[in-house]
Amino acid sequence: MSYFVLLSPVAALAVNVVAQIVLLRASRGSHFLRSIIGGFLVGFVVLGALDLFAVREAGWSLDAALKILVVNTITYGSLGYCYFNFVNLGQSSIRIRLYAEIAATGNGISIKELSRDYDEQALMKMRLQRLRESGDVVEKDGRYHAGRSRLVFIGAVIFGAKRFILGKDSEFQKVSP
Amino acid sequence: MRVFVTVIALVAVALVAHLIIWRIKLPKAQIKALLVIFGIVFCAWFAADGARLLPMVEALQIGLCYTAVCLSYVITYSAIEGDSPTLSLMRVLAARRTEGLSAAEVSEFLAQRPFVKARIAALIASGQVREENGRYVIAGKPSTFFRVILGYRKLYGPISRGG
Repeated sequence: MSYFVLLSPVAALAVNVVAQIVLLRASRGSHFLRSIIGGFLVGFVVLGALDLFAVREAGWSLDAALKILVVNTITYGSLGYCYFNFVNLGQSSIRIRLYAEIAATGNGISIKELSRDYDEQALMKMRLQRLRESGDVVEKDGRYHAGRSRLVFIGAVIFGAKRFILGKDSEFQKVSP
Repeated sequence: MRVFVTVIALVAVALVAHLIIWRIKLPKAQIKALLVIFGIVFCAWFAADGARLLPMVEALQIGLCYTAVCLSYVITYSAIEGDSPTLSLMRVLAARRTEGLSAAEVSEFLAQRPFVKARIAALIASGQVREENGRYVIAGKPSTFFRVILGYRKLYGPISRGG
């Protein structure tokens, strides 16, 4: 039964993966984030069910059951986070897209073609449009302002960590002395 | 609770080692260096009496939980290492909350941060892409990591263009 508890986060992750793919395919690829959250929740329910089953079968105390749940929740949460980032790489990473496009051509891509397909201005316009639609950015009298604070908060955490660990704010800035 | 405490302690030791090394000298291949640090800390604990005093199932549980937490940190670190276009812009907008930015200022901000060029430079630096007669081509055998990501992506459709 101990090995059953050990493997329950892995089993829950497998359920998470299958559920996420099913949910995304059911929505014809239009609700990516919802499929990630849905898949994670389905996996979490399975994790809880597996652990409760194991605890009941083994006759462990409530204290032991709570300890198992804490460790397995951390393990499953971390595995789920890794899976989300793995899937998200294929969905949104510019680096992956560039690699895919170069790999898809026999003789590579010229700098000119790349500039045309990945125009920095066009990318930013697209990004701005998405940020405006989500309410993170608001346009007022022809000027852009921060809207909802969630991305500002995430940015503050990331840039704070960057300053603390790397000693710089941006990859475009040299390390401070 | 022994599993939980051991994982927390191992992660804490690895993070302290990571910070000390980064303060002394920033490694060229940061992600690889991080993975090595996490690996060494776990192997050192395993080689010491730490693992032998525990039942096998608990040692495996610690290994699984530690690996999952470390991989999560490595993934988060890749966001810290690079710049997110969206977060960079949001940061500037938040700093200029009242006056905001005009379209021209946004363009200027972007011109100073060529994200696509930076990503191409990273692909070249990591040896996955090379420049040949003014064209970018795949260097050597296609990367397994990229192939796995792109192969998995085919499970639910093609990659749409855009940022």
